[in-house]
Order: sequence, then C-alpha cells, then structure tokens
Amino acid sequence: MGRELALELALFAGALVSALFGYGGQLFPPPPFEPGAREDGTLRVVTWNVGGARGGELHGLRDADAPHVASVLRALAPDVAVLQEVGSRAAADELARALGSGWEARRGAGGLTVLAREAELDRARRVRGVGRALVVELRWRGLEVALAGVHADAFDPEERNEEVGRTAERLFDERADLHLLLGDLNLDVDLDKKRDLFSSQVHLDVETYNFVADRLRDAASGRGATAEPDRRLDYVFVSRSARVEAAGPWKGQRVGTMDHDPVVADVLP
Amino acid sequence: MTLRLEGLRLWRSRQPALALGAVAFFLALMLLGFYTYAQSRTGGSAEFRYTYENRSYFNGLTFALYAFYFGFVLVLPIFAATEGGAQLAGDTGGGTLALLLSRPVSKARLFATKFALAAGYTAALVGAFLALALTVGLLLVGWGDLDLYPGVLQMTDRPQHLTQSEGLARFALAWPLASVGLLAPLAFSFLVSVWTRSAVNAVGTAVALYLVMYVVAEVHFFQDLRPLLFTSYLTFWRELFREEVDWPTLARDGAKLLAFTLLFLALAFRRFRRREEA
Repeated sequence: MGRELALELALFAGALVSALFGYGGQLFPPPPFEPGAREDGTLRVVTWNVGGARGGELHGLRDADAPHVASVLRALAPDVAVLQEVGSRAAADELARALGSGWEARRGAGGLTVLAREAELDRARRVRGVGRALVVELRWRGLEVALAGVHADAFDPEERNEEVGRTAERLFDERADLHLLLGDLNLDVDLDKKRDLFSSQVHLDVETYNFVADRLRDAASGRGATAEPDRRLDYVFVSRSARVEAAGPWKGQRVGTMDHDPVVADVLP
Repeated sequence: MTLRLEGLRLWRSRQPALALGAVAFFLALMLLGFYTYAQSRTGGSAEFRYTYENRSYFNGLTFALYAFYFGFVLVLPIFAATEGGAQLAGDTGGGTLALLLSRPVSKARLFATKFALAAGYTAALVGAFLALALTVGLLLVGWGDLDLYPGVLQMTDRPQHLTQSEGLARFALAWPLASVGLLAPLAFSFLVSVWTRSAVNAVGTAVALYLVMYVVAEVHFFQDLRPLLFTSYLTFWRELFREEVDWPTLARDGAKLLAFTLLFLALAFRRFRRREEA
C-alpha cells in the first residue's frame, strides 16, 4: 500500500513540476508593443487604416476623428506613414497640415495616402489594374527608398491576390536601397488562425502572403491582431537586408468606430 | 515476467499488424492526394498567379512531413487510445485482471508495466510511420531540400529552408519528441479505461473524447480553452522544422504535454489502486 501511494504522489508531483515549467511563462505574458525611443538612423514607418465600421457599413476617416489621428501620428513621429481610408484629398492635406511643417502627402484612390516627413517625396505612381495602391520613391538621409502602399479587397481572396501581387511586382521593379510594402492587405494569415477548421479562404491568402514574404520581411510577425475582431490584416514588409529594431500594432489608439490599430516598425536600413 | 507476458498478449492480439496496415493505407491515400493536389491546384492556373504552391518544392521530405503531420493527429492517437483503452478495461471485463492480481504482483507494478508496454508500442508505431513515410516519399516522390512556407500545417510563420541532410536530422529528432507527444492521449485512454469494465466502451469513449478535444482545440472560436486541452500541444514537435529551432518553446510545450500525461496517469492509478477487483 505504501509503495502504491508513493507512486501516486510521485505522479501528481511530476505533473505539478512539469506544469509549472510549461505554463510558467504564460503567467507573465510579454507586454504589448509600445513604440519607444529609437536610435539615430532608424526609419520609423506606420500603416494605419483610419476608417471604421458602424452598423455593418464601412466608412472613411471621420472629421471628428482626424485630430486624434494627427495627435497619434505626432506622438509616433514616423518618417513615413501610409494611411488607408482618408476620406478626401482635402482631408489628406488637412492631416498633413495638422502634423506640422516638413510633411508632404501623396494621395491615391480610395483614401490611400502616403505621408512623409523631411524626405524628398517623388511623384506617386499608380499600379496598373489595382485601384487602391501607390508606389512612391523617396530619398531619406541619402538612401533611395521604394515604398508601396496598398489597401486590398476585403471580401475576395482572388482579388486580393491580384492586388497585392501586382503591387509587390511593381515595387520589386524599382531600384532602391530599401523596399517597403505597407498597408491593409486584408489577409488574416496569423499562424494561430490557420488552426480554424471553418475557414475556407485561408489557403488562398496564405499563397498571397507567401508571395510577398518570400522577398520581404514581415516586420510585425507574431505580434498579434491589428484589427477587430481579433484579425491581423495590416502589415509592414521590409527588405530582407534591413534590420527590424521593433515592430507591432500600437494598441489603444482607436477612437469612435475605428477598427484598426496603427502598425509601427522601426527599421535600420 | 509481467512485461514479457503483456508483450506476448499484445503481439497475439494482432493490433500491431492492424496498426501498420492502417498506416500503410493512410500513406497510400496521402500519396494519391499529394499527386492530385499538385496536378489540379498548381498545374498552371493562370488566374491565380502569385503563388508558391507549385510542384517545384514538393518532394519526398515535404510528402513525409505532410503525411506524418496528418497521420500524427488523425491516425496515431486513435491507435494509442485503442491500446490504452483496451489495456485495463479489457482485462477487467474478461476477468484476466483478477487472475493476474491473484499472483504476487502489486497493482503499481501491473499498472506501470501496462503503461510502459503501451508507451513502447506507440513509440515503435511512430518510428514505423516515420520510416515508411520517408521511404515512400524519397522513393516515389523524390529527393531534395525541405522548403516550407506558412500554410495549413502551421509549421512556420515565415518561409523556411532546410537542406536535405538537415531535414533528415530533424525527422530523426521528431521521432522521440512525437512519441512523447503521444503519451498524453495514451495516458488519457488509461484514465478512461479504469472507469469502465468494457474494452469496447473504454476505447470508444477515449477515441470520441480525443476527437472532441482535438476539434475544439482547432476551432479559433475556442482559442481561450486551448491551454486547458492537451490536444493543443500534441504537434509541438513541428518546431523542429524551422531553420532556427526555438528550443525553450519546444521544451515548454513538451513539459505541458508531460504534465497532462502525468496528471492523467496519477488520476488513473488513484482509481485503479482503490477499486475492488471482482
């Protein structure tokens, strides 16, 4: 009887020790991403879908939310920001003005807006066959940077595949020291989500993601959801030669009916 | 003596031969599925251009990995649960357990022997599955490096490249780790087995509960339940198939599975040592 009780207690004790080792880290999960101070020479880029949804209807940036967006961008002080769903050209210009001096804006279709600070921003070029995409060249501290912003279709994975693929190919055509692809790609390919047995579109989006990820680094990989409800739709892709110092969605910055977080990346070219 | 006797009984039950047959049948189905997928989904679909799902990276190693992954979650736990469920309940229902305990053998030794034998059997089954999958893959699909992309296998969140020799070394490491992973469903089936006196009921219940827990762990809606289910960590060995293995994560997930295994065994043994044998 004594040996049997000892075996039982040993099994329970082994289970407890293993659980403490295995789950110990989960008791103190890593803190969410917070943009901090960055080293000199680090390029800070941001992508943010500033639109929202109310009662099932999608809408662009609301006038009431524009000052908040400007204040978040001022706090982040990025060198480049790619915004989606900025309502109008006037709203884009107003946003650039609200950010202060030294900012320039380039605007594409569907509210896609590229804002750059203290960088020589060339003319924005559209991507053939893609409504909401822009490719811009800019010079930042002597570096040639090719940047693509895209807002892909929210509902059709094949449409997304064409839009993201064409934009990426157009970007790869540009000769530059650093390539960046930012935007709301509407791809939810977070590793954890692929467990979902009820998802029928994941494999199509995975192929689109792979097409970009094969050439560029997904800066905020593994940093969690960027949009409601618990989806990772917004991406910053950077050249593989660049080093990502810090990246992730900055939580707690939405107001009103906004449904995306700004995604920030500090990149050492 | 007890171990040899139990081993002989397992061999005569023909379950190992049945399991190997099922594994071979499963691999044949995988091979068929592999070829049809490569032909129908990637045979030059012009409209879906931006893709890496083409035949260039399909080879024997990717076949073996896909086959082993699906076999590991769908086939091997069923055989582990069948073996574990049948061990104690089968002997109880058939009256063999009372006969065994009439000899000078403790319940602790009998329990440990049965679990050790079942664990050895599942480890051998894992090894046989891996060896067969690699042999079929390398002979019928072809040699090459192991390229992995983010996809339905959840192996990686970024493109990975392993040379052929690195890939084979990772498969060798996957054998012991996957065998440890299967101890949890095996121990769970032991737990079910001590609560019933019918082998059929024990096996059926263990398999059904395993499938329920596996499905729940896979549905995103239930993601908050995942830490509570051993099925969430079964395929922790996938971490091996990365260019840079995250050993701390691998160790932590392995420890979680071990914790479930030991807890199930402790509860099963508690019930087993306290109950009266007819």
